[in-house]
Amino acid sequence: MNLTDILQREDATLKKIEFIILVLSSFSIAAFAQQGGNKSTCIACHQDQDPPLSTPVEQLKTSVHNNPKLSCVGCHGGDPTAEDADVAMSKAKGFIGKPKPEQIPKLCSKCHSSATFMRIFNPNVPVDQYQLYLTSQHGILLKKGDKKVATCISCHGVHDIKKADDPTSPVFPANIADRCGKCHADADYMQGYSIPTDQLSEYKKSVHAQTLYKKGDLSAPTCNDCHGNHGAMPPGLSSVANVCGTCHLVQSEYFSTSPHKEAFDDMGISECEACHGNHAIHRTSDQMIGIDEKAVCTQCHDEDSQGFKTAAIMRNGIDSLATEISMAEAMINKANQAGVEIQDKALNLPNSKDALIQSRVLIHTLSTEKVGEKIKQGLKAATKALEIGRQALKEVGHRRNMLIIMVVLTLLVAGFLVLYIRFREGNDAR
Amino acid sequence: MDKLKKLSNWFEERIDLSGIRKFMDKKVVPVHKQHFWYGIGGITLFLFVTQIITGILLLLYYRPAADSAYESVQFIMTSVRFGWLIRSIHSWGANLMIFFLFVHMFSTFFMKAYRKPREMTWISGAFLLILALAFGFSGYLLPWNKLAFFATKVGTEMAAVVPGVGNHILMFLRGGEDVTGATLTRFFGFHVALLPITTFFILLIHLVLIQAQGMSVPPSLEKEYNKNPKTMKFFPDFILRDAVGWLAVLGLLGVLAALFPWGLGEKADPFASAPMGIKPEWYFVFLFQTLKYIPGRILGLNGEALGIFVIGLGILFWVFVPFFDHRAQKNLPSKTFTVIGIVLVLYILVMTTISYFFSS
Repeated sequence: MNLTDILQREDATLKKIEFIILVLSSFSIAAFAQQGGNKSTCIACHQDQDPPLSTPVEQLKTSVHNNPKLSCVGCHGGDPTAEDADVAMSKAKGFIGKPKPEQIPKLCSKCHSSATFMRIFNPNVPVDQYQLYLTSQHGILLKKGDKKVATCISCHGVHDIKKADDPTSPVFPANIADRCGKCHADADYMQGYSIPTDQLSEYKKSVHAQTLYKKGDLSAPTCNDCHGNHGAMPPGLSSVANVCGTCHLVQSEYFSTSPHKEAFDDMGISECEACHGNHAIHRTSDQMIGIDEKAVCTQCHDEDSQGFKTAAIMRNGIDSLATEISMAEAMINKANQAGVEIQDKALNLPNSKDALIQSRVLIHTLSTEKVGEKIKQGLKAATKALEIGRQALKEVGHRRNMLIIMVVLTLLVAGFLVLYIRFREGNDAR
Repeated sequence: MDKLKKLSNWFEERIDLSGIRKFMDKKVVPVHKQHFWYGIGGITLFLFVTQIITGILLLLYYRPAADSAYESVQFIMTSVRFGWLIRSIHSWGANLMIFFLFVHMFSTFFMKAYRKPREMTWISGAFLLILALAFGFSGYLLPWNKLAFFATKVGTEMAAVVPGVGNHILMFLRGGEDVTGATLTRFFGFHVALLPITTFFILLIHLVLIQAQGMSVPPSLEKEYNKNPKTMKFFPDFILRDAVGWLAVLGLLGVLAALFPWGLGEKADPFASAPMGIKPEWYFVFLFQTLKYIPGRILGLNGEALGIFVIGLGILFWVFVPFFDHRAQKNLPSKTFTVIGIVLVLYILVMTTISYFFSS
């Protein structure tokens, strides 16, 4: 038997095995699907009822749970095969009706905490939500018997639960703040919890909300990005910087090496929040640093302190760079509008702008040397850009002068031509 | 003068120029109320010559590839001495040339200069206009900027609606399915080789016919003119007058180039979304606006394809108008064709105005 024969025989055997596996898997899938796939008497009966009894059937149509592998009994118990409503919804068949708030997290976790079960739908879906919930303020209070706190359905909905990346889902990034605000912005509902209820309105004024809602940037932080979602808790004093640092990595690193770190820790001041606030974090501006009224530095540093001097030095540096850049920009724009193309505009001006941004971030180190060095780099590039702008404007002047000379010359030649034509005509007439 | 005479004699001894001199002495141009319009063709030719000169100068630095075309034009505008002026004159000159071509075409149309024996002069002129538009369309893409990129995309897409061969035309124009570097190289080839050589031969025919047949006197003035024919010598009287017009246009070009240098815009990015309100060059705008008004389906047929077909028929009618205007051929007044011309001019003006000022 040669090698080709051996390979052909092995190929035939493999094909047989493939066929057996295919047949067996078809049977097993069919058997599994039948469990939930049989016509449910719950749906058959409820869809013919008036609202609110028919509402769940309608809502389920667009829900992530509208899957043949799942059925009403998963949450409500009962027997979906029984034709008689009393039998289908009897306690003997395990029917629990509308689950109570305290039952809900456990009920959802029946499936959502089972990696084996959830793998059927999506192998990447997390299964730690219940464990996290138990550590959250909501979970802790629920355990203590507080039935007003949020459970799974408070955020995700009930029969119309959608995937978090569905824009109509209440837990879609752009909808989360309003969902949390449903309870947390309701002063009556939050009575007795002794926490403020202005977080939502404050958040909506923030730069984070502007980025999320106006720019449509879904990566902008909303409630759950700082507080956690299933394990929602207010970040503690020591962890605020860590929360902000997940996005603002460089600022966080610079801050942790600065003299502020130790001082804030000693004084028990929360790090980023002390200067930037929490829910209503506004867009930063150069006015925040320095020694004038709007500067946050003067909240702690008085005139005689080193911090006061440092703030003044850094602000002056930043102001001088920003002024130089805006002058260069104005000049280059003016030259551009006059039609002078500037090839170098793509180099020095952006470099100086980068340096300005970097020096604004370096402020968190509180090092006048580091900030000064970056400002120096920026000023060098801005000065070059300014010079290019000046040259370009000079060029505009040259072009105008050239134009005048050219037009005058053209008119002179045309004038001579007209005179010559008349002279010829005069001669011809004679 | 002696030196000039000597030089002339030197040539005369070697080549017999007496025929040309005789022709130059004999050649006259009719003088009447409307002879002013005879100069427009000369201005158009003058602008064409400036296009050739500035185009050759631009060729010294231009690089026809997607990764370097924009940069090379930028280099011309910023680093080459007087590069900005040459490019601006080339761009403004192209637009002025097409403007004067339209003026020349309509003036000869209304003066019925296409009647016998000048049918071929008209047809060659109509082809020259089509070639000039092709020059404009191909040259517009060459700086490889955003606006030109998307305008070319929209413009070439129109070819695809032609039934049967549309897709082949599109592929031929683009050098592939999309507007890419291959399109740029191809358009460059059209712009600097194919179109110039074709134009050269047709222009030669056009000019030879004009010189051979002379200027046409409009039928409305012909009787009066024949009673008292008044002429001027082509060399040098008419040419000198033409030269005044050329100088005026040269001055205008200088003013436009210096006060409104032709911008470069942003570099084309095939992955960027098309900018809002994209429009072709002004001389195509009336056709573009017309196509916008045509519904998607007309009697079950593709509206755009039908529109392009009708426009094509219109262009054919216009090119061969000498053979349709029988009254003009018999030197009789042909008011119908004058009205057609007026309607067409008004249509172009109205559609262009709507597109620029009243359309999104």
